[in-house]
Amino acid sequence: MRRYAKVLVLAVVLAMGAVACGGGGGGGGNATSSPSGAKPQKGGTLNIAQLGDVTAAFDPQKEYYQVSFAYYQCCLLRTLLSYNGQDSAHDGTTLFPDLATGMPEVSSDNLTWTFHLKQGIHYAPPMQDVEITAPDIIRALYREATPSVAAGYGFYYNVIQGFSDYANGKAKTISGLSAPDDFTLVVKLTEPAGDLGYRFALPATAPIPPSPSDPKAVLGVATGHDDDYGRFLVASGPYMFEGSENLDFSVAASQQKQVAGYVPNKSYSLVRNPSWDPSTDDLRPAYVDAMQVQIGGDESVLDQKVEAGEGDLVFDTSAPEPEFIQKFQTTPDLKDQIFIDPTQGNYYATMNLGTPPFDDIHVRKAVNYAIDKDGFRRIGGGPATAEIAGHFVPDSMLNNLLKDYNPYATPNDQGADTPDGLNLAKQEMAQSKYDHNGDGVCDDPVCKNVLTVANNTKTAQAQASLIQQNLQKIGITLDIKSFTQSAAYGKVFDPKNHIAFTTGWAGWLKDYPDAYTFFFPVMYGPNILDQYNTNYSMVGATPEQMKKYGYSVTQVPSMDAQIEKCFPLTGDARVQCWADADKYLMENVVPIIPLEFSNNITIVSSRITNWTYSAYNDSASLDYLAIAQ
Amino acid sequence: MAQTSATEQAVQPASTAPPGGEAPQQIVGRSPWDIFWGRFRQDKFAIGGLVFIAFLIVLALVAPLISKYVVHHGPNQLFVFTELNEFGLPKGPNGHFWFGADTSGRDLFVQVLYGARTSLIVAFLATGMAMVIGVIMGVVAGFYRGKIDTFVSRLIDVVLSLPVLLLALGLVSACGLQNKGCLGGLIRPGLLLVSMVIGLFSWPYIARIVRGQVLSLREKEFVEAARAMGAGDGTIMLREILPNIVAPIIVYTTLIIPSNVIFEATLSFLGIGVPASTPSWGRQLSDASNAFSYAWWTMVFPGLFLFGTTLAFNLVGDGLRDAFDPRGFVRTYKQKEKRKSRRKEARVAPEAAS
Repeated sequence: MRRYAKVLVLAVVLAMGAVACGGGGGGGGNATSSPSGAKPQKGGTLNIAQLGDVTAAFDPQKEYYQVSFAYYQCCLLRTLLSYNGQDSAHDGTTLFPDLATGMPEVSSDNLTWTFHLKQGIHYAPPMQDVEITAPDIIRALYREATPSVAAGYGFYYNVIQGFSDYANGKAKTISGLSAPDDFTLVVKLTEPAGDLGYRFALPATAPIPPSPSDPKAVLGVATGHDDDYGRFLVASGPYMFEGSENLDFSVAASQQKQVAGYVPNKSYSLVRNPSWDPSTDDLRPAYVDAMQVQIGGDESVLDQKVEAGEGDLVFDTSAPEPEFIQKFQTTPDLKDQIFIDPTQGNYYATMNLGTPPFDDIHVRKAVNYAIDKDGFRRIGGGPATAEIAGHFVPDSMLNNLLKDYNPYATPNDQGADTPDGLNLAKQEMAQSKYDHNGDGVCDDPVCKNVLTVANNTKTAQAQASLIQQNLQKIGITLDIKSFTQSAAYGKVFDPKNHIAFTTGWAGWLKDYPDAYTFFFPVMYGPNILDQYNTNYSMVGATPEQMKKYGYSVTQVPSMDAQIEKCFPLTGDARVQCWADADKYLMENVVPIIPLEFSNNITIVSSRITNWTYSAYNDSASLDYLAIAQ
Repeated sequence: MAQTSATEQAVQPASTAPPGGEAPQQIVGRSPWDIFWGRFRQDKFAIGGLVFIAFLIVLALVAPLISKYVVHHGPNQLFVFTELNEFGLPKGPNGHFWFGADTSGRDLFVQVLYGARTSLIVAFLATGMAMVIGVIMGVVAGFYRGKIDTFVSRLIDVVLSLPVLLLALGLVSACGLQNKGCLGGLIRPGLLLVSMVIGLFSWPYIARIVRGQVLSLREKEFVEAARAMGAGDGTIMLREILPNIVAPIIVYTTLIIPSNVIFEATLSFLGIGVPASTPSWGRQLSDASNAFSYAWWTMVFPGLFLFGTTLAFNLVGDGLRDAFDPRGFVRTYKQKEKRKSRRKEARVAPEAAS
């Protein structure tokens, strides 16, 4: 029941020296082969259970959440570029043209990107007569920049000329966005951004049609729906909310009736979008005719329903309860109904470089040796739930370059719970300035009652106790304060709280398949913020910042040079650069203890065929699932 | 001492006037304790409850010794590899872990032992607090009557009408989450806070009963006599009235202990009781609520102990009430006679039929 908080990065993107090149490699959209071999059949209704609703009522400019991203990508919204909905072995993290005819053209100075749109693609009813054009994408970006909308991740677009000026009210238009004709979008940047292509695959850039009553309205049909556009969403993907055809944008926003197929906190009903033309879409097979999503319930109850065939799958950020994982993996009849796939997300424990004893790299390395990662994982549900992590960025995001890299390996990854692991930890601790007698056990008062924040779920509590037990053996005692997930995040988000240690309940999930989305928010000095700071370890903080937040330690190691070095690179060189940065992080900075690269575990009902895992969405590909007829 | 001399004077003439010369048959009066014990020990259930409570107290007291010398590990020690399987599911009772492991791989036996400590400490602390407050309020209200009585009685009404669980939830979560506590550090999270919350909500039951008793006692002759001898209010309440209401106080105190044990378990079940590192039956049951389908032992053992404890206290409380109640003996005596005669009839009836 661990939940990623994708709602994290409320960052101001600062100096990003990046050189642009084609987003993520060449096109080629023939990746829709069926992994299971059998030809899936079209039709039927997929019954989906969800523990909770999405976080911003399906407003595409606001949603910054794994589950809503998945619904947009598979089913509701098309973007200029997108993904093929498959696992990473089948190009699932590669960008493909979607609304665009091909990959964008990039000028020689890397500052101008030109997208060409396919012609003849229309919106879902009631806008079935309206063709998707370049101004519609510009409209979406204006909405992302509109202060009253309070959008989710505008910082990814600050690199567009005039975007932040418009957002701050300093300009009336976004100068960097233009449409020379209806099917050409030109984006001008203030500085190169090699990963701009990925950002034009995020749902915030999905087209918004013009308002039929007021074609000049900047926000189009979303005008007057700053808080509830999700309930008036005009779809472009293979599915739409049921009853979309009854939306009436010709009357004033306050008189419009919300779409019937989305009842917040209760249910979604997705039906085929009659305007969607499969010949224009290589990325989405869209096998089922409809999806019924019921919201609410307890994970174990929902698991039981799936087992009984009353539901087809649980689609949320949670994993099935361990008893169901065991049952499905060990029962011959159920074995082919459980699917385990790697996500591009991790879990790690953090040490604050500004709080002794973690200002000493030997202590940080000793802690890396001491923690029993295998035990940590077993408490969380065992090997099915995750790979043991030896470094920071999930392997599939680094093309497996660091697959076997684990600088603090211990026998069976059991840390101080094995004699050899404990020895390694002690040897490292003995070199620390806080181990005065050199016996490998910290004997300085700073190692006592280290301020630690933990999540108060049962699993996280047990994992925290395990880490506490491990660190005890090298003389570090943790003073664990437990909070609910959101309260715990609240504590570590504020650098003034001087939280010295967190026990592995915090994780990170990519926004798009580039390690930038790991290093920038978590390890980049200029991104340390007064609030919502996600750089819990204070990596790269300046002495002024450290003083400002009241730390006694003012000199902390930085990763900034290693991170900035990767910005101008593309392709394999970029991936290699991120891998090198990860190594540098693990050997020279060591602000974290990487624990797990987590897996997605899904159990499905017996009638589901053609299971496909979307590496981009880190979840099932709903548009690939088919129902046995 | 005015009132004692008054009673002595009243009694003396009778005892110092032997009527005849022949040796009087020595009649030894039974002390109230003798009467009480004589009745109480006939109640097999109450004795059983008492034995169980004594056993539990001993277990709770020696829990650290058992964990150190018998099982060789503490309540919060994790046995991830020996007691959890590869799916992270706990193993059942075995030679090493008598009650099996909990879902985190801790020894449930040691957890339950330490849980007994928590339950008993909270129950006794909270009940003690409730008793002190309740007796003081009850005696004062009953003795002074009038405005004071009105005030105390309405206060009791108010406290009784509060949604206890909701308020406790609010109070404990408001003061329990921050380490600073609330009211400037006056209220801090932990056993004490939980005990206080429980205590604050259970005194009215005692206060009401005490008040009723005091209302009638204060009109009795011995109180008047004491007052005539010049005794002050405090003396009368403490020396004359209080000894006469000890019995109901003991009975009702015993009877609210089990409900306080349950209350603590409820708060811990809801995750707002004692801190996470303190083993508690309520929290163990809460953890088990997701796990009982594959790990029955996580629910059965803490559940049995909680059940046993509340049952034992209830039985003892019932037994005490019967033993202290002057009419209780008559009733039980009569009932016994009835039962005997019924049994005789039953024995006779088949013979007569055959």
